[in-house]
Amino acid sequence: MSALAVEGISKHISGKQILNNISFQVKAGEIFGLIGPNGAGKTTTLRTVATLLQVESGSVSIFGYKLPGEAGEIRKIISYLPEDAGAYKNLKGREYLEFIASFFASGSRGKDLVKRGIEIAALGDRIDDRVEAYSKGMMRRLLVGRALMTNPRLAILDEPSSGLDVVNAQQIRRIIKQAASEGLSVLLSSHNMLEVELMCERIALINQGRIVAQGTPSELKESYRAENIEEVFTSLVK
Amino acid sequence: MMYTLIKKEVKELLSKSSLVFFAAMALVFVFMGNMLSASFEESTATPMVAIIDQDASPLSDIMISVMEAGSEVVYSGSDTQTGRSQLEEAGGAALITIPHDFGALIDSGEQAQVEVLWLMQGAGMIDSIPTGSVEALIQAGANAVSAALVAEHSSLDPEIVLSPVSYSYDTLFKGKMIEGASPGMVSGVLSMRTMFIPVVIMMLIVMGSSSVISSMGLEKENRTLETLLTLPVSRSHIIISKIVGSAIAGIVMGAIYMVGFASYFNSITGPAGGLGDMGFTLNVLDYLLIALSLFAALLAALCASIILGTFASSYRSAQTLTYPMIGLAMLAMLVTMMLDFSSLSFPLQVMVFLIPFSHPMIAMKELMVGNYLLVLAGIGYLVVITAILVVIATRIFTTDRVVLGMSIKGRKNTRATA
Repeated sequence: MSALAVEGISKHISGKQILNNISFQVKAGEIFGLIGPNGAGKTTTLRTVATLLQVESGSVSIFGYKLPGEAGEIRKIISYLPEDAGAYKNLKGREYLEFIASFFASGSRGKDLVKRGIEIAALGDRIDDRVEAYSKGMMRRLLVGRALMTNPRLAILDEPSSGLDVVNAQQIRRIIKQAASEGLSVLLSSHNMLEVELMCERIALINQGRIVAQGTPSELKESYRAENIEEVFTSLVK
Repeated sequence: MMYTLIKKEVKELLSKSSLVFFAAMALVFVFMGNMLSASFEESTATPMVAIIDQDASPLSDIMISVMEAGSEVVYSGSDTQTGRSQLEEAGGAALITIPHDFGALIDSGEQAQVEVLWLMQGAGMIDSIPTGSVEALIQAGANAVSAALVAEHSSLDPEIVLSPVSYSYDTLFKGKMIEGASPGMVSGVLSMRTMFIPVVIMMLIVMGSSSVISSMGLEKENRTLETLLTLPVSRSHIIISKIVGSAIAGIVMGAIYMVGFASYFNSITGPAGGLGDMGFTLNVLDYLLIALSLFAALLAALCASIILGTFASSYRSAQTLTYPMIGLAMLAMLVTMMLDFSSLSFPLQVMVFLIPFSHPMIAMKELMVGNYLLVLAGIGYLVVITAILVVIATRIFTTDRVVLGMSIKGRKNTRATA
């Protein structure tokens, strides 16, 4: 069974077609990258898979659960990290993780989730500071900790290292790869071609709401006679 | 799970800064109330005057002795300059001069004149001088002069001559006979006791609505809504927790605000009473109906606010969206404060009935006169409105609008969430 199966989904927003017959699959334990220019439909695809937007046509299935009917079950096994996501500013980092954990487990199991979130975020003593005092990098690490601490079966990550410096971005990539090696399936979108090439087993290139190419990084490079994914990307979207 | 969500809402809305702001507002009202109260007491206190007697006749003696008995006299003599300077030094209110021809004019059958020089300290509300008590003082002196004249020229009792007719009155109001009260007294006492209710309810509605709309704006501004909507919790639980959390926050904010406002209100109106004496009482059932009406109106307001909140893109834009709620609450408050529901024209009655917030505002007054039908109909209307609004809010939360904040065209009628 695939972790995620997206079959022919289309989507209109304000009368404009944003997604046009999008299909791809993410295997269990795989990191799958969705790349494309601004406005190509990456975030809309991720939001649809994350149960935020309606499935207009086509189908979405996550570990056998289908949208829209089984959205409640799907939310128990996914974790979504939106681009530019934030946390409740009046809470401390630890309180935010406790708040999120309370939806997944209670008692000692809930405490274990928080402990794991704190480990992933690796904010040290700053975990007990209010979120409003966090830098962008600290906030992103907290949110990655939040997204991965619940042991989701599928993590949907929109630009996970967006706006981070090299060190913070590298740390977050390492955390995601570590989680995938432990069985987590990941669907991520990114503008950073190097990041995608380094992290993803397979990639789908989306342009103007359509999947224009997909495969492993080496397959894509070979098909388009490119040295790296950035060259594949530019040759497809120009 | 609901408890966690409600706790989060309350914590977010009742931040230290918002509590400090409302406490400061309440203190401003208390301060204003105390100032006005002091001014009111001053205006009704014994007036401080200087009396200049340029006549020294038996009639001016009568007039002065009465005025001295009812005032604090800083100077009594014949020197105007001395009297004025002593009055100014003491911060007094008026220099009263009895001219040299006072007694002679009255004795010759003409009207005499007393001259008053007011010492006005400022033009502000709290600077008002006790004109009423000085005028009453002069009137009392004039009455004493009249009584002396009657006693001198007639065998009749001066009291009878000065006030030959008295009358008694009762008022019939909505089938209830109120003895010893004029319509002005009845409406005055009723208004005094019930006009506070619309203000309290208006504040609760505004605070609660503002809280829930702000909560939605904050979720979008802080980019937390998308995460919240992908957690394993139903949309209806999210909506209910926002409503309950906002209701708690609204009640706390409203209570803080009203402590200050009550102090201010009491200082400008004085303690109200007399309803029981007139037969206007409420029993336990009445209080329950008022509470039920208020609760249902608050829920309706919060549900409407949740719907408005889905249009907010940030905390700032959320503030703009509170205007329709504030406008409706204020309209209901003004209409119910100024007018009686039963005396409104039919179109106005329909309009007031349709505004959900007007029902708890009029409930107390209507229950006092036994109009249970209107209060029960209002509660029924509020329940229906609230149910409709909850359904609409839940449906909106299951559409793309809550995430995209815009209209979706050309989509099929499918829902991604439950």
